[in-house]
Amino acid sequence: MDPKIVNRLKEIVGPQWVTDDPWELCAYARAWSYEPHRRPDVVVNPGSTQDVVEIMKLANETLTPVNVRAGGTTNTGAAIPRQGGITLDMNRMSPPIELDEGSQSFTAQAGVTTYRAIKELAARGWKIPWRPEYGNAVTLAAWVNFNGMGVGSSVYGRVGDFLLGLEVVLPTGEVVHTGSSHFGKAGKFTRYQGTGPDLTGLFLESLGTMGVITEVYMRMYRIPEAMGQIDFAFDDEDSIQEAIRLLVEANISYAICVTDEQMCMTNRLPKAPGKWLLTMIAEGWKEEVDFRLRKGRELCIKAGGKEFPPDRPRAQWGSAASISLPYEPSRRQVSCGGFHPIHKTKEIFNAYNEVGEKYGLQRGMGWWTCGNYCNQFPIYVYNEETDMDMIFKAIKEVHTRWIEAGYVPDYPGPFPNMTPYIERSYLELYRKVKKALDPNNIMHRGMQPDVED
Amino acid sequence: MDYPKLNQYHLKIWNDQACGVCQRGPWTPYPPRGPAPDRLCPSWEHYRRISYSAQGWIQAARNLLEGKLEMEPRFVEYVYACNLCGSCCNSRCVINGDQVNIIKAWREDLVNLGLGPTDPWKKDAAGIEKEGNRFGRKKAERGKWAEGMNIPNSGELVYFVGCVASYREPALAKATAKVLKASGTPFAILGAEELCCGNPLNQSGQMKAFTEVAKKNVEALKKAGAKTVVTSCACCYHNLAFEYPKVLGQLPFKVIHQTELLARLVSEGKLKPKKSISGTLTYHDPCHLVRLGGKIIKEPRAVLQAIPGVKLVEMEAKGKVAQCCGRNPVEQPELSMTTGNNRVKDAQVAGANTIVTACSFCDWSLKRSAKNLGADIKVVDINQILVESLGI
Repeated sequence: MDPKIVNRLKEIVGPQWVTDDPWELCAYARAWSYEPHRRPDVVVNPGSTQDVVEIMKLANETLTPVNVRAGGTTNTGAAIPRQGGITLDMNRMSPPIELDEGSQSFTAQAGVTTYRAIKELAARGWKIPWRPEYGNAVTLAAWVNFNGMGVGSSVYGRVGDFLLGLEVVLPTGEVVHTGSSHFGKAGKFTRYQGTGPDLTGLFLESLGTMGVITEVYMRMYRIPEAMGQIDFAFDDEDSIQEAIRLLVEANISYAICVTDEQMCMTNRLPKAPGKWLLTMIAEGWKEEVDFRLRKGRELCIKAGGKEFPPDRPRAQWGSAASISLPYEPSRRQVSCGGFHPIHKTKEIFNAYNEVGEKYGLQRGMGWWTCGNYCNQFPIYVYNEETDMDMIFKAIKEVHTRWIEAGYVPDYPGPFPNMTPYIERSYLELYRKVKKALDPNNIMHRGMQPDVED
Repeated sequence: MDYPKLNQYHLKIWNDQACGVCQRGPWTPYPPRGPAPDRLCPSWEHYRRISYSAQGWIQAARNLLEGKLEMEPRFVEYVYACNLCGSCCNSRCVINGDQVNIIKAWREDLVNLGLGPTDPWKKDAAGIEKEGNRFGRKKAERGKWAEGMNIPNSGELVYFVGCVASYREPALAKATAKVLKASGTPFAILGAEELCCGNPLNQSGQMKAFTEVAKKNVEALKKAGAKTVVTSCACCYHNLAFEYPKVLGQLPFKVIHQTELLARLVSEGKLKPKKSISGTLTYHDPCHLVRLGGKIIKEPRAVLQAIPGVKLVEMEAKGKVAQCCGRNPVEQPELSMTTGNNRVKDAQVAGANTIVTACSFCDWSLKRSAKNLGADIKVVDINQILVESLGI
């Protein structure tokens, strides 16, 4: 990188907040991802929205790629630069969150972690809908960039469903506020308004390709009086699929989470009492929770489930770590996932399982529901000796079969690259919007969907 | 260049998942294990870059072992930027508690290759070599604080005083001795025969010098007839109890921290705190008493709770997950200040007007930070509180 750019960055944020030391860049070549390691040319820690504005103007003027990251707990590869350039580490922007109890909303800067938000809200009796999958390090802005989902999505939906707006620095350096706060004296109380289409959606799930999110406005909810869960085992794919269908139709669950017995074996969990394990969680007033769990129990039994014996350990849902992180040395995992309609559950599972069997891979499958559909997240395990080409071949094969089954991916690439499967007119519209916002294609350059054929 | 010590950990280094738990805490920070504190790594808190966390050092180590990086002076400084508080060792990850060991192994390789340590650690080593203490103060003055106290130089229980209490904060040493005397417990000190415990040498990878110091101290303690060695400094405790056996094998005496002894003396009725202590106290757990081998959590609290009038409040990060005090005010002054400042703020959030600790370095770092912040908060050693309550 041109030293003049590095010097200019030091002038903008202060020299201590810029590094191009190769030993420091190594950390930024990685994320919680199996992607190849790629270093940025320089790492910058902006301390304010104005810092980001100046950095983006400089990057745009010098056509320097910019990659944004914080906790780096994503397996999308979005935290890893594809073509060097500047990596913005947003962790410095983390003052206390601002609560607006009148609007039942809060504002957090880009470096505020979901865990910190949970704690700060809890101190006032509020909460965000659920605990994000990836623990302490994930930031709210990253959560928006991925449009996260998890335990609790059954009733609350994905992040976009409780997002009220954003402050974004565009790739060309302008600051935009989306949601109701962009109008007159309105506060941050709704994502939608009568001033045109929903522009928050341009940045939601964009994996950082459309701009730098510097502030997040989000709805908060009162902590419920009670929560409870029931756990059932199922012996075949038809009955688990039916149980999910019945529970979703009944609309009584805070969360519906499923794992297969392979996951228990792979992650050394207690032996599964059936081929499939289902947890239903309910929240609300105590009487309400009792009622919902009673109904859930009836529906699971109707579908052919067997309730866990009382002494059997329950799943600690609330973090993917509880089901998908191998804590042993010499084992790693790749996870690949997506979304499928409930009636495709059996087909999605069989594809993952047969591919795993074919390549002799240790594996595990889990999913949870979001409204009327499921988010599946299978893992395949590998170690230092594993032929990675074989792993990539297996992943490609499972995705190909899922595409045939009618799933959508949870991120667009890089492996496999989902661009060829996107309807042409949709892709063209995406490219026009991307070009309008980021004329020099500096944001997360190289991320899918491909901006050129 | 070869890095044989570091290379012993190559599988763990390769397997690091880069998941961030060493910066911000566990993936499951919620009950039943949690709730966990939001802060974890002091270096990350200070530098705000993931490169300054176990994840950063481990990724750099991997690149070094794979031949993608070469050591150079500023890279060496980077390897010495961690304060080895061990907070990341609590994070439930594949490195499985070896984060500190990996960085120490790397530093040892650097010393063996003639590339390390960095200047402040060399200065410590020179002081220890010449005068037996990290400050380079006169060896003969080590026991000066005890003048007039009639403490023998031999006995079954030996109080290992440490450099900070011997030279910089003699009030700590005096308070410790007064409390032991008040309990009627016979004890000795080594006086000028005591050397630095070797903590700066061990931290900086100067393992040959560390081993030499360890041997001399063990010899002196044996000669003094020690069956039990008690320390008032958590760093001395850590080195004597856990690091000496690594280089010398099993020691011919038992090593305890003074809070263990105090708790026993209080429960046996040999120490009876009488005078009421007003104010709200919080206890800061020294890293070396609660992790990296130490498990001394209940004892100091039991002692404080035995003092009349004491209102003890807890900081969120306590026990095994306690935040560091800053630890190395001389070798890493800026990091130490930020870390100490954060800890003083923790105490204020807890509503305390006094921080009690049980380590000379914690006492030093926290006092420095409290002064820097202009905080209306007192920092005292547990022995000093006891002296006040015992009225001695």
